[in-house]
Amino acid sequence: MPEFLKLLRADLRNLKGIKWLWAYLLSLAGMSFLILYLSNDTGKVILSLLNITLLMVPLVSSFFCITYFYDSKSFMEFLLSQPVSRAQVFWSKLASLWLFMSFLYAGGVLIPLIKEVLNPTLWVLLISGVLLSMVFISLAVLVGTVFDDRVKGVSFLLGLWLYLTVLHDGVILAVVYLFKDYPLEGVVLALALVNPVDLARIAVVINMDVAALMGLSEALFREVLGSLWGLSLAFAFMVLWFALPAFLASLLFKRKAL
Amino acid sequence: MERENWKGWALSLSLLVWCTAGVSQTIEVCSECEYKTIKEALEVAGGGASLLVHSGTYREGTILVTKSVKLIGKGKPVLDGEGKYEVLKIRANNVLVEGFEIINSGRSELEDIAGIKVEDSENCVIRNNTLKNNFWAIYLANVRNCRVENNRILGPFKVGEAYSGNGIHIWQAKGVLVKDNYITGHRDGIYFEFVQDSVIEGNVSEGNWRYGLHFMFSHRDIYRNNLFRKNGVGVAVMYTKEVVMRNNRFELNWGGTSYGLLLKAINDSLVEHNVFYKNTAGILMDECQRTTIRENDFVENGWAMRVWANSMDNTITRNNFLSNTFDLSTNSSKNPNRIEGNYWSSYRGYDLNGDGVGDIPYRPVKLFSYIMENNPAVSVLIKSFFVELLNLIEDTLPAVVPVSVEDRKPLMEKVEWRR
Amino acid sequence: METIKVTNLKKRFRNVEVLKGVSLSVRNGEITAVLGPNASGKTTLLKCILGLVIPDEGTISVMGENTSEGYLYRRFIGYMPQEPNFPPNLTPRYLLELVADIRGFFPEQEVKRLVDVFKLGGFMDKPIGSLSGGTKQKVNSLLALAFNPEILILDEPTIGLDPLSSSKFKEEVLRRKDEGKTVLLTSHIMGEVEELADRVLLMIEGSIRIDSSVGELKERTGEKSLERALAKVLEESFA
Repeated sequence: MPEFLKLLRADLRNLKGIKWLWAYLLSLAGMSFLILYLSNDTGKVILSLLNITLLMVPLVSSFFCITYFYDSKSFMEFLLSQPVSRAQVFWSKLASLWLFMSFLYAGGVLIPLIKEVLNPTLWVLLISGVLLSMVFISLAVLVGTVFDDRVKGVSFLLGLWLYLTVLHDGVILAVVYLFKDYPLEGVVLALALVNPVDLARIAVVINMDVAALMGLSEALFREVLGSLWGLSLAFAFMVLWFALPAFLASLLFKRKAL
Repeated sequence: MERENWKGWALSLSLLVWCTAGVSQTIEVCSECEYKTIKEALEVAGGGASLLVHSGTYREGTILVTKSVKLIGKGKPVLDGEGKYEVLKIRANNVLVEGFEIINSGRSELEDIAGIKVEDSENCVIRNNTLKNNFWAIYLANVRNCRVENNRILGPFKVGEAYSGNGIHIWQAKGVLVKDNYITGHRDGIYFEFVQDSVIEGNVSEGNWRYGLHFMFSHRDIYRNNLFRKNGVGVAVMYTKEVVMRNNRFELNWGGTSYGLLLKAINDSLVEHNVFYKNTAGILMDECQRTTIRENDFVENGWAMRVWANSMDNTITRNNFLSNTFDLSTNSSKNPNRIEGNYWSSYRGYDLNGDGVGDIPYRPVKLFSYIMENNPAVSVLIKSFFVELLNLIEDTLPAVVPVSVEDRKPLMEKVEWRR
Repeated sequence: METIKVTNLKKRFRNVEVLKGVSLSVRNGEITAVLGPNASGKTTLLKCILGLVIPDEGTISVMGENTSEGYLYRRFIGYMPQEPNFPPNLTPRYLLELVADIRGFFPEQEVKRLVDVFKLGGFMDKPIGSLSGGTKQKVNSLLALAFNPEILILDEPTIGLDPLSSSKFKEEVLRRKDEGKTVLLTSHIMGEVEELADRVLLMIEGSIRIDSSVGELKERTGEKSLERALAKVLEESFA
């Protein structure tokens, strides 16, 4: 077995033992059950879950992962005194987080909704949530790699989280409001595509009834966001969003003093 | 004994004479009858005659009716246009068409070929027929006092001007009654142009690819107890005054460009006691004046109402706005219409003096929906946290909203209106 | 034989020059102690050798392999960090198995012996998070020693150990020396250095000020204790 997999297995085993990660799964499942109990309308359930996903996933993924990353520095140091490469240690750490957090998210959402397992919109939500988890894990690891000071790293990440989850949409709204006399379709679309949280939201929303309220009558939106095309585009951008920071972090990690 | 017999014969003979004289002539048509085709029967029929057409399939090209006859199908005879002909063409007053199944009219890009076409006539009655797969189904042009009742109209279910025309199409008419028909699979379910002083009631128009009901320049008509459901666009009514729409249901017209009811340049009209359920927009008002929207239920629509600022002096009162994504949107910061005394399920005010009217005004136009009305691009932010946050802020601090539209007397409880 | 050779090693962190052109060589069959005040660069030197810090300039070779060209040279090294911080949910046995997996062999006999020596028998299957600081340090020792590496790098090894374990640990280290292995350690405890070291390297502000065998140093200064001998040399050099 290659070293990467051995390390990955060890990391996963360690993550498995962290109790409050299971609390994350349970709270997701609990909320899903609650929502399911309050409404029978699958569309509404998925929309509520989308809200929870957009709030919880970035928050938990990023803050757990940056803490965990700082905490495992000395273990990475220990591992790197063994005959393994930095790349192996880095990618196994990142991959274990990707895998495990995605598993927790998917489990938390899917267990209560197991009856809806054939509903394609649920899968869009699941994939969006998983990708969003991966994006924020990558960002957390990148920030953790850049900042050696834990307080600085966590503060920076907090700012980033706040911006992407809330403020960015405010910027979009402000741009539209201020430049309302100009054709803004392209600008708005571009602004939305650069934010992973918006991407996750749009990927789900364009597959729901509420999509009819979006300006799908506008040619550009219909073309770009309509059906499978838009979905693939949103997912592709999210893949970029987790792959690029991860790649950048791996480059920095290679030269980093531990 | 013989005398008695003679009397009998005389009676029979006189009856026969009376009948053939046209007071109530009846001609039977069937494959074993003397008259095997409707055309043959029409040749001999006098004015006022009844043609009893028995079951069977009749392929006779276009049957032209120029006499005041009653065409009565027994056992649902089928008139088949074979995809080539206009099936029944009526150019006479007082014609009745009842009990037929009329199928497969021709198609054309130049002419409006119909299953049943009535032109330049009065007092026609088209009832209890089934129409299937016709280009146009029932087509009335330049008529008066006609009745179209209890027909079942199933179109070709194909989208495109070249494939399907309207279900019930009426042009230039007065005093028409369109009642209890079922229309689906056409372009527009019901289409009126210059149809006045008419009543449209109890119809179901659903699954038509453009409009469930579409009319223009059709003044003083009454629409009641109709159901318009799942039509491609919805119901669009235009350039008309003094219309009454009451007790109708507009539902499930859902899509990027759909709405329940588009009121375009509708003046001095009344929309009352209707239910708008799950439409992209319940009512879209464009260039309307002095129209009253009263005691309607708007339930779970995307927008309950979109009222553009080119609509003036309309009254929106005593309606129930229940769980709509947006209650009201408009494209201007001012809206010259009276919006007062409605029930809004998202109103969070209080009523300290207990008069059933909220003490603080309700602002149904959210900042986000206002921006969106002016610049639909911003709709990518639907369901965004920031927007939800903004709505929350608006609810607590209404002053931040630049849109001054408000209901000064929001009701604390749902309006219980009866049909 | 020179097992570690460091040539002109330089490293700066932001504005601080931590290593200012350090050169040294470490031989097998000897215990070499790197001494120096805090922030003198000794930990950075060790980390450079381990590949945990990448030097700006200079070369390091371990058993003849250039450390900048790969990572497999670390198979020769057993490292004992100052404060081990292992993942709390893994057991000592699992860590041992992981390292064995990576190194490609499991030294069953040696593990058994060391577990006995350090009395770790009851702790091998407990999560590390539940172990005391001293026990963790023993696990640390076990992991460094068990694979019988050619080179032992020990950063303040006895700090967390109780006196008994500490003395046992020292015995182990001395045994390795006798077997011809290389030992490089840092320590603040002069007695310990005196007890173990054959050679000392004194680092101050990123440079090596003294590089000498312990005997030679004492002889040259006429002092009996290492501490005094070092002090004397330093005084001379400043004078």
